[in-house]
Amino acid sequence: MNECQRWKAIQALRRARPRAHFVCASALAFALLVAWAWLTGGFLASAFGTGSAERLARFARELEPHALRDRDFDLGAALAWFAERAHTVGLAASANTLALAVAATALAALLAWPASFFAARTLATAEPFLANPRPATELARLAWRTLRASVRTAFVLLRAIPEYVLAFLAVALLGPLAWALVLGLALHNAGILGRLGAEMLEGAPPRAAAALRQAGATRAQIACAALAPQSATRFLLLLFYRGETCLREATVLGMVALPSLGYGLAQARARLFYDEMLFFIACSALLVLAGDLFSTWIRARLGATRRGSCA
Amino acid sequence: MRDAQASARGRAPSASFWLATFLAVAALLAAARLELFATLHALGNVEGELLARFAAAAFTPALEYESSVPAGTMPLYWKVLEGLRATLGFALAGLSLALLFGLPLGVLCARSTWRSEARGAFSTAARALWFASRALAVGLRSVHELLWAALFLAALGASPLAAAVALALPYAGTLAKVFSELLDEADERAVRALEHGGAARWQSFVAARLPGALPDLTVYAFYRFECALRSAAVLGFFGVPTLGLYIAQAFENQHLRELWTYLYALLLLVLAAERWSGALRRRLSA
Amino acid sequence: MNGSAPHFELRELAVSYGAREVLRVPQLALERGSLAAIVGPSGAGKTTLLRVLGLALRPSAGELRLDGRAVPALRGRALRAQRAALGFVHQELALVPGTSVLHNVLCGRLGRSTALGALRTLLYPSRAERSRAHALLERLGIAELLYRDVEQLSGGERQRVAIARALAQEPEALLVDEPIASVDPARGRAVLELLLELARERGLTLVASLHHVELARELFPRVIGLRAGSLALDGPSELLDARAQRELFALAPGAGHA
Repeated sequence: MNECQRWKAIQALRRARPRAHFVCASALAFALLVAWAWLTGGFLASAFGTGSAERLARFARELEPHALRDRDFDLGAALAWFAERAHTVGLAASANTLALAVAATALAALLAWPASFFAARTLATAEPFLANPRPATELARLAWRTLRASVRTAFVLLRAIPEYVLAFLAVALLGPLAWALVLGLALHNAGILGRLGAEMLEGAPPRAAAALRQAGATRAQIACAALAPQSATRFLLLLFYRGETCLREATVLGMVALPSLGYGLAQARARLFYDEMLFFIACSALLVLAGDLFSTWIRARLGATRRGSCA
Repeated sequence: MRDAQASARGRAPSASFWLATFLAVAALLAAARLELFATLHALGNVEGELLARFAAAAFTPALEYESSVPAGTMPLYWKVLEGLRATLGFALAGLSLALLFGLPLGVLCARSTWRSEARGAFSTAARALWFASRALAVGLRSVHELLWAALFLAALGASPLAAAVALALPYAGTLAKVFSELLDEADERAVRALEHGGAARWQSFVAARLPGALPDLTVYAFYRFECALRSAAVLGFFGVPTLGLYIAQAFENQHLRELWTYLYALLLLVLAAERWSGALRRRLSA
Repeated sequence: MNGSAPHFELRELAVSYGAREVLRVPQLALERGSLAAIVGPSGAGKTTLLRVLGLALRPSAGELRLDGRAVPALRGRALRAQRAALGFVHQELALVPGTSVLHNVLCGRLGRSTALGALRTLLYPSRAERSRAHALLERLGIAELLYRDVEQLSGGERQRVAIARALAQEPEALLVDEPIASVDPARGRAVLELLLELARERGLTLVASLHHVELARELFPRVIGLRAGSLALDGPSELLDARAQRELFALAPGAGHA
């Protein structure tokens, strides 16, 4: 084979190579969309608008805790200020934020775990795990399919709407109650946990369930005796990992209502108390960090790590 | 069957029992703190008329403005499109910035970047740099994008760039954390093989570790795109002109049917992104 | 290059993991162009010896000399150049998942190129580089797989890609770890014959670890027998008669027939 022939052969092989059209097209489309966003969004024009220098200077000045203004920096005074703020508002607000996250996680679990059994393709079907000798009626098939599809659709819709919007709507309907925030956060997370839970159930070893079915177990028996205990630990792990995210979201949900960190921040922001704003942001960061560490520790103890969704 | 159950339950069934108990107790304490039980009746006391109007509006989203608007105002469908454009634009701008910083930071946060096979483990300097990178990623992530937005909007005024940067910072932290895990999980054997064949460390990174992890990195980046759309919408509640702003305004004016129009628009946008990233995931993570 | 010094020479070599010594070789020399099989029961230290020869594992004691030069003196760029001169084919093949055969073959060039050149080679290989890769694959009988994803290949094809990657380094020696473990038994002989042919036509030193004693005896001029981490046998393959085989595998009866 001379060089010319070889080059032709290479070109032919290159043309015939398997190509991931969809992936390439997606990458290209994404790059074009990003370019479009930057060119049309006015991001670059606005970076240094009129008066932004004075605004920035004022911001920097007022970011300094007011206890420290117009004097030399004093770490002791700064810490004393932080401790005083923490004692008067910070701790209570942090506790409320934590309570919001915990209550929402628990409520999400209560809603999502049972519902996920009705969303699992292996279980929520007319003939679970094993074909019946007598085929299921069309009506039974349709009923199960409808049930499964509606639960799955509910999960999709709940996780598509941001928790902040859900909480906003809940406050609009219920008034400024803690319940509204808990519901907003819990419903969104129930959508996520429900899908992950259903995937987990579908991934459970089908042979064991089929053997039980063979031995005459009913659908409910299999669900309660085999699938539920099997998936409990993993579901708990999932819950802790979602709990981290809930805590992070809870730090801002308070802006809608409830005296929590987000609420304090919104108040400070409205009054242009930048030092106070910084204080609440620092509290949120500390709370989220503590939650992350705790959850990581628990998950390491349970001997599993799971990477995950929306943080 | 009992054996099968015991093994399927993991190595510590009692641990998960205690964990569940702990969670239940924590939930009860939290509920007590928030007075959830005392206010349970409030759930039943929803203003019936408002709820009915809200529910009815869900089936009849507005196609025109609900109240008269000054002449020359853009039509509602145009406003919806404008909201969609802004939401998509802020999400993309924020996410692209986040990728720009998150990918290098992720590389710095990966253990595999610093672990030198020749020296066996981390050197002290490597350990310090690794720790600093991780601290930066964790710090960026632990402050919610809305809080970053509060800071930046206060400092820079209502500038689009400030909102995009606010979105980008925590996303960069999260991307860095997950990217570093994915890079660490990539097939080590190919990387080793190239180094034993004379490749420098950065060469083996570019030639083996990065291509090996690329499908997973792409899938995760696209998943974050869904999240960025939601976050961009929520930034609207802070005055950034995304769908969240229109939702808040529509509610203030009690235009419930318009509110639903915007909600449906947001839903469509997020669901479209989810379908896109789902299709990509099915192709890439075989 | 010192013509009289052996290509590989081991002196008082020992490898230990913690307190456990896994390999001890008092003296071993391999001339340039020699073709040797390392045999022995599993766990005897075959792979460890191969990894030491391939500069992939630093011995705990003793020294390795390449062309009469002590290896510990090598660092950085010199070490990389020396590693590039030793083509290693891993048992688990260690191809880069999700990339093309061409990419994997070009990976073998990394140790031979400059920093920027390597990046260009991987992103946009030149016509000459593609031609060389194609010619190499043609020699191995898999030229038509040039642009295929390595994950869609059979075990035998993947192994040939790994061999091509090692040959792309333009090595002076080929070190092959258990070449017939990842192909079906019928093809094992063909793989070994191919390796020997390649080594002969390119004048490479070939060292392969093998659990299959019969094939080693039949095909390789020289065998190195390891037992429980120490050198039990070294010489022409006729030495490996039935009695020697029994002794070599005494602690693991039947392992030789696997």
